[in-house]
Amino acid sequence: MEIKEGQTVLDVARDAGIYIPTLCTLDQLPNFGACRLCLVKIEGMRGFPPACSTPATDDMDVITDDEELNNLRRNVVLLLLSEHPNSCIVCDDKELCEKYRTCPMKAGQITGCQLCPNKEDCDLREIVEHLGIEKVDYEFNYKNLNLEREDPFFDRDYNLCILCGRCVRVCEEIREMSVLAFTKRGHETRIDTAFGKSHLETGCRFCGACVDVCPTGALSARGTKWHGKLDSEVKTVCGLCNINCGIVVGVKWGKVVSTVPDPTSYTNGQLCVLGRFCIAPIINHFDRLKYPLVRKDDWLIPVEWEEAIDYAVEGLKKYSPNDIGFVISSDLNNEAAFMMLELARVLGTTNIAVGTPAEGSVVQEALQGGGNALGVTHLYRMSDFTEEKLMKPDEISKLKAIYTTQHLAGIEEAEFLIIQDVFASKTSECASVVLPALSFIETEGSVLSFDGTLRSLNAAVEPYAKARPDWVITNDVLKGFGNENISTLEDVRSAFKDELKKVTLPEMQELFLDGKWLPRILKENKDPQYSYRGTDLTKKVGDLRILKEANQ
Amino acid sequence: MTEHRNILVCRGTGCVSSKSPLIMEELERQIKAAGLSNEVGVKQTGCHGFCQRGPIVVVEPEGIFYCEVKVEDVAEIVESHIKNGKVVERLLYTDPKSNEHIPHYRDIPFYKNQQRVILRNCGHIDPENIDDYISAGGYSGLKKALDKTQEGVIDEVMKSSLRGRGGAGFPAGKKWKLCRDAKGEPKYLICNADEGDPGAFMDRSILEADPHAVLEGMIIAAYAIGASKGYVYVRAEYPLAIQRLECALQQAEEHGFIGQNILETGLSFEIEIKRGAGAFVCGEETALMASIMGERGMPRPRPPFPAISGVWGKPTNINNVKTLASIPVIMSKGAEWFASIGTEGSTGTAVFALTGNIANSGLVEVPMGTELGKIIFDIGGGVPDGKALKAAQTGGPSGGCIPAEKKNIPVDYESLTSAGSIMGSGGLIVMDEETCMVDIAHYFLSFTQQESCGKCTPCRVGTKRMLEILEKIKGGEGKPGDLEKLEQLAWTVKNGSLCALGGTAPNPVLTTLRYFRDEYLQHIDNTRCPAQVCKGLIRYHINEEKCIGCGICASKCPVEAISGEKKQLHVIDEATCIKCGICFQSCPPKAKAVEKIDIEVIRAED
Repeated sequence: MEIKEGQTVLDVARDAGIYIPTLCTLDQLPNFGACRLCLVKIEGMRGFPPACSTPATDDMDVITDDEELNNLRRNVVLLLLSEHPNSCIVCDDKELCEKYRTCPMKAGQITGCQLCPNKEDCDLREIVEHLGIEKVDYEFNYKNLNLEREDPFFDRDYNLCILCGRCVRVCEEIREMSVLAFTKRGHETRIDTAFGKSHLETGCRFCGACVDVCPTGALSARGTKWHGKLDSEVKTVCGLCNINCGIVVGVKWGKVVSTVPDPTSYTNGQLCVLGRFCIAPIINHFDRLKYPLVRKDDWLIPVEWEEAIDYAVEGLKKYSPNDIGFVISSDLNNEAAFMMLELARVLGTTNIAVGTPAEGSVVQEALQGGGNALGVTHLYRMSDFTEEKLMKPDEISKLKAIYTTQHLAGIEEAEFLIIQDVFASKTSECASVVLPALSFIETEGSVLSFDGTLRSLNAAVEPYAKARPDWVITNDVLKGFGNENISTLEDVRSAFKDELKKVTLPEMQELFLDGKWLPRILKENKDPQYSYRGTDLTKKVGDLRILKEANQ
Repeated sequence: MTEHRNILVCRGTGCVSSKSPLIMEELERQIKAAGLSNEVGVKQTGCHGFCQRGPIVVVEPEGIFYCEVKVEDVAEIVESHIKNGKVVERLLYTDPKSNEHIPHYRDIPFYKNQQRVILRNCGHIDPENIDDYISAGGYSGLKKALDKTQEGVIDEVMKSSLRGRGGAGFPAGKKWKLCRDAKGEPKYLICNADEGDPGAFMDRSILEADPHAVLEGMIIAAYAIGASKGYVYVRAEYPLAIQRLECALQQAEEHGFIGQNILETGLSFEIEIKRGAGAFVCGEETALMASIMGERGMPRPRPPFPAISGVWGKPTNINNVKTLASIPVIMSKGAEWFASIGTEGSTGTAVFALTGNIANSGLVEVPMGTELGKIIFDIGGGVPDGKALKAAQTGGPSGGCIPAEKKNIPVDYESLTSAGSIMGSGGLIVMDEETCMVDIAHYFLSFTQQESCGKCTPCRVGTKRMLEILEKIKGGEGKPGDLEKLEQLAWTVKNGSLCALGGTAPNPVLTTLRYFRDEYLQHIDNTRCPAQVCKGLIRYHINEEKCIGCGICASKCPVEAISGEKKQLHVIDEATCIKCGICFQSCPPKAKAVEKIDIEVIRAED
């Protein structure tokens, strides 16, 4: 067997496809040696050394699986099961249940049958199956701890905790926050915050890394814990800031129900509170714009798309180019931003504002400037517009006709206002035409992340209500001006893709040498921006508001 | 006029708590008043190890040993002994067997049968006076060591075959060599003074009575392995030990034994005292290092061993207090001398805190390989009140019970291990025939259970499940098969645990099961506790014919479970009784009316 420098017995076994059960190990974390399931036999060593922490050597003779080892492992798991609600693990009807797993909760919490939020994904259950445990010979010892729900975003049911310490370690080693710790000792040992404070009081940023590493249902995202088996999972990137962390979107009933970090992403499987907990509630928010609307007799009336586009085109045609302005949101993907710039060019105006521009270091701009700040800026530069001409929001608001892709205070008074946005807002209420757009999670497209890399957005779900992709809407308006060059997404892309691919920021590469770069910059970001297309997200996600208020 | 005399007053923690500082003040005052200040010195010492008989006052050079001295006795000691040369007989040690006074320290059986190497200076020198230590030969070992090469020092320790006194018995020289050969700077040296066994106080006494011996050992070790920084990890519950250590550190620095360029050799070494918060598990070396670094005291898997990656990720050597205190004498008297003491596999001496049902409790040091019975009977004076010896527990809660019939077992690492126990760091608890072995196993296991760090499953949960079974057995609810279940659990905890705390926690259960299985079966099959200890299996009853109606039991009963008129028969209400046994103990010997009897258990048909 081939052994690489620094590999443990467990690493070598895994490379060779040999299964050794573990509960406390985790790829990014240093070994811990707590769960005692990876115990093996090594020739010349006393007792049962743990595979996770024993360095492998060439001349080692290792037994990973025999009756004695399985007996030991079984005994250890039985000890865990003597305190971990286990009826879902050893139930006679387990097989039937595996198939459907959608039945209503019918068993008490103590037995853990239907009330375990983790029933779809349980490391413990997998190991129980591997070891062939069918019966727990101990009287069940329920810890009877209170469910902890005082904090936003995630629930903690330490009755399900097996003290593997993954949450403590990820919080300390990867996120460098040290919110969680082992407390008390002996059988009473628990995971808790210092002095039993609430997570809000400890300064927790609710990145959810602890929830992601929990092998049981002890830690669970409150908003998404009951969805059960997902219908599908889609990899894409988050569009709420320009870091564009990789996410895996969980889809059920055609809806986005969860987002978890993509471990293969350049962000090393880490997210912030927005990407981890807020995307699903934002996307599913009742305040989404659903239908195209046009103003008739002071009322915004739902109309078909054709009518809305006609209304917008005809409206714009009434104004001279100098009276028309465009607000391009930094949250637009490249394709959408390109189309807006194209429209401005065709109309012959240079009245353009780029929404929520941020100033400061590259990192600060990325965190505060919008989901595709770099892409939008580069596209703007690529066209014939120069930076000096870029308008400030207050300059734009003086114009008679405005086409905006985001909520922007101060432009409500425009004579003719087109808004193409995701959420209803003050701006949309005052608009002449409302064009409902799809969010970053429902459209194909691309963003230019802050590191200068072009990343793809994949549509995770079918379009929401009647909303359409931004680029399609703008393209339809463009067609109204007789410009029919573009009909597919590929057409848009070919117009700019090569240019954006050239954007490289070599100075950024140094940042990524440290695998914990994302947690570090998030930790240093004292004033996180919670907005999307000009909409304050704390008004859309109650828990986010609680977090923001606690941090102030 | 007689030669110059010294009156030594013990100021170890035990004697201090029975007012030895007042005795010392009074002695100083009266000696001064008598105008004897030039002829008679009054000196404090550390612990003599016989705290049971404290406060202890020794008059030297004749070596007269006064015990249980009170402040009021000072006048008589000065008047009779110091002025008139007449020993105060009533303060002398009385041999419980012969009932004779034994005036001289060296003749008292408790001391006569000991060989004090590690405790060599304890009780003889003033721990707060470095000159006293130096005049007793102190720091000569350091000088000898500095004359050797570093390898030479390690060779000498290897030749002495000194094994770690912390419990595991790993050869100290080998440990030093591993650390010396490890790559990385700086290297650290830690003195493990996190003494956690209930009832054990060897390390505390040494630190209180002879702190320089430990410091000297540390400096020699630091020189040998190339460490530049040392820590003494000592329990915060040992304030006197910490104070003496601080005092010794300062003096050693003033004398150039610690600090930069030690004794002009270019060696630099500094020592920091770290106070532990009193977790038993912090005696485990990786947990101890975590604690030093400000983390929770939780062990981590080894490898990497501390010698390769220890405190702050640097090569670290950890030795117990007693190991380090042995080093100076190995240097000054030579490895061969040291190796001549004890047995081939276990050289030198072993220090025990002898306690339990024993006539003389205290600190005992004997050559390795001494028979257990010799320690218990010759030094300890046997089991008091004419009761029979039942068992002895070595190694504290991590050790095992050795039955009376094995009393001839030599006390060394291998023999104790083969008997299912361990040497441990030196607890030795003697149990008489009235001890219930199930209860004892439960007691020790409940200690380790509570002190488990909670990290690994077998130790955290396994010991709890074991304890629950023991509780049931003690309460008369044991079932057939429980013992097998206990053994299976014990096997899992022993083999599955991360550190030695869990690895040894089942020892008391395993050894009592091995030697006293019958007693367990009595509890389970006959719902009877033969020693009448387990509360669930006994009840208290007042014998109608013997009760004299004195009412003492009723007045002492904490739950008012006893009723009866004066001079009339008293009755215990069993529903109220909590079985504390106070009535049993307080019933006048002439009546002996309160009886402990087995309960009659009616078992539900399973």
